[in-house]
Amino acid sequence: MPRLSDFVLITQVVTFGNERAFGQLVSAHQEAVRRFLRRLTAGDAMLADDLAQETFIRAWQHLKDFRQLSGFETWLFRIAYRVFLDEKRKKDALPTLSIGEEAVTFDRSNSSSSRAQSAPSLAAGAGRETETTGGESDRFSLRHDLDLALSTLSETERTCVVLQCVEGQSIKEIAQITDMNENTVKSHLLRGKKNLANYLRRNGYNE
Amino acid sequence: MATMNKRTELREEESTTNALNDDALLASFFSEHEETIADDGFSERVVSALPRFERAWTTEHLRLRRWRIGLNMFGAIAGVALMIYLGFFTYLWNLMQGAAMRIIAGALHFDGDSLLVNLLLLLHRLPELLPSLTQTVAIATATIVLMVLGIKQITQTYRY
Repeated sequence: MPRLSDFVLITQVVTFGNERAFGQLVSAHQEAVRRFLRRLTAGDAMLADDLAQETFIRAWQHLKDFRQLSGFETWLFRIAYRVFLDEKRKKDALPTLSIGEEAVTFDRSNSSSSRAQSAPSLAAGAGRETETTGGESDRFSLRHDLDLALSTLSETERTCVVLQCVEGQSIKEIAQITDMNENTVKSHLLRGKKNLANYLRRNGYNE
Repeated sequence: MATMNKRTELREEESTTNALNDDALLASFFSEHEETIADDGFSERVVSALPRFERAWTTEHLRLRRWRIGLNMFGAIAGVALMIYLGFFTYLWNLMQGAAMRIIAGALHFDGDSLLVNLLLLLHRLPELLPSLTQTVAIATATIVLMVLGIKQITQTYRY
């Protein structure tokens, strides 16, 4: 069955409280939101899914306030980012979020270089995974590499880089999502991409 | 001075080249690590966990509805008062009484033409008499009743 446009579905939800229409919206945008949250939570799929669920519930409750000034997905990313920050504030007392055997800390300083030096290497992460075989373990290894690499960035840099490089959001949209001005976003992007590229080169990743 | 400018230009050029190289490297890295996430019942779980929806327009809608009911009642009362004032009911009563008398009298020839003229006259005067929708509906209903009665009478007349 062809999917109705977001606009039509949103109208149905706002006017009639149509849960089926909202289900279609969730189905269409769940992947982007869950992927974005997975990158922010350093690959913790369960936590990311919980946050994604909370994101969609908030979207349901506030859909009447959505003024179509930005795209629906950008609006969802904005909510998802708020949900993530709320969760982070709640868990501030906890020092680490574990992914696999490594412990990746939520960023607490502004220095990316120190993190880059102390971060585990891609080769080490990949090497550990080579012991297991099969497509599933390969996929896990790739995701693990990705999250290890992103963990070397500050939280803001990571958010900006993921939104641009993974989710294809423009600088203007990233500014809307993160509530920063465009110049700040540009500066975070430039720094984050440079740090990430340096980290990848240091760990033997070439194009 | 010229040397300094040249150095600055070279530095800018180098920085642009580095940024482009970084972009290419990251594009390659992210495309290699592209992740697709299947729904796997996620949407259903979200929908089943949704709280009761509060329609955006509920409060405003109720307020408007109260206003609309009030206005309708006012319109209906004003319409009936206007119709009494203009003698519409007397006119209608006389018309119906005339028709009834003819039926009772067993007139063989029912004056359908004059009934139609009366209806046309009534319809023609409607805009002057009825400024509101409620009154128009009332008159239209009465007109339809009269037309039905008239048509019924005409058919009965021509049957015998």
